Amino acid sequence: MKKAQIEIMGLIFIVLIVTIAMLFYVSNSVKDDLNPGIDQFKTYANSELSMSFIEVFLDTSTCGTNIQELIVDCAKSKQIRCDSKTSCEQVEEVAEQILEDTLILWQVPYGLVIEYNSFTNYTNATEDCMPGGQIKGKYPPGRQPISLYPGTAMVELGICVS
Amino acid sequence: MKKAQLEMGETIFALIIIILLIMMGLIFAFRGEKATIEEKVDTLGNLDAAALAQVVANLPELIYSPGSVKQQSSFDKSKIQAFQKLIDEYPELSREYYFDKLGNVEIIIEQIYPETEAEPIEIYLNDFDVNDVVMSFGTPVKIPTSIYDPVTNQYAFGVLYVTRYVRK
Repeated sequence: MKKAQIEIMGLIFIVLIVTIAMLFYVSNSVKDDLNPGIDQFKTYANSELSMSFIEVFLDTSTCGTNIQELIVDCAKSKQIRCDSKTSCEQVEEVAEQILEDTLILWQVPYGLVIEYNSFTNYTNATEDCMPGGQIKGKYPPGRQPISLYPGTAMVELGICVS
Repeated sequence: MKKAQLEMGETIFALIIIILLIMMGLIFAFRGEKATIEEKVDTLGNLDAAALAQVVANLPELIYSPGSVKQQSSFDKSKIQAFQKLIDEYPELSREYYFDKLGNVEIIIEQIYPETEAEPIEIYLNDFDVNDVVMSFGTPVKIPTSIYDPVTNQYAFGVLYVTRYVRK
């Protein structure tokens, strides 16, 4: 093989390596460009999901009133009866039914905490979502305080997607 | 065979092996990349659908707005029925009108609580012509939403599903 031929082959080899390096660079920069949008979406989607869930849950009508009123009743007087159930039991039953048909069905790990008052609370969470009683996850949980006067009840829902 | 020919054969063989190794490396590298990029495109499709869901959640034709005041995440059951009737009666006109706002999208609302035997309500569907191959772009975006029934004055827990469609 002539010297010129070997040089051309070497050149082709270098061009090939440079092309591959450029391909990797371009694909990596495309990935970096996509990342901020994806992170924003995930934050938005998870925060929106937990906040909308709580708002809609509290507005839901049941037992001739709505969930928010039942939470207030459960925290203060426990006077409302829904068939044979107390207001607290009704809130928990409705929460379980809704969670079963939404977050559990969609396989979204969650942690729901309803703090009626400093003595009573209700927790419903998927496995490993609330280690040590705290909702774990990258995104801030949705929180909705309910005024009891005196005191405040709190409904909190966290999506435990890392 | 001359020595020069043997040397050339060796060089060509070595080059073929090197190129094969590079190609195999590239194939493995880009196979992994392809899956990652597809997943990201899927998420970006969902981002688009989430933006659309906000448009839907603010359509005056659908939302519950007593005294012209919009209620948070609340759809009016009677408005949904009227909207469906409008779409059924004037399919072409309504499709053209809402295409600007919504594009190629499917919007479904499902009542979760109280449980109902009724099927989820398809509020709007504008995919492509039947002969076109259609694929969904990302998984449906799901947004919890209230469904207000003005007859019974009750709020139900519902979920709004928004799926974007693209040509394959």
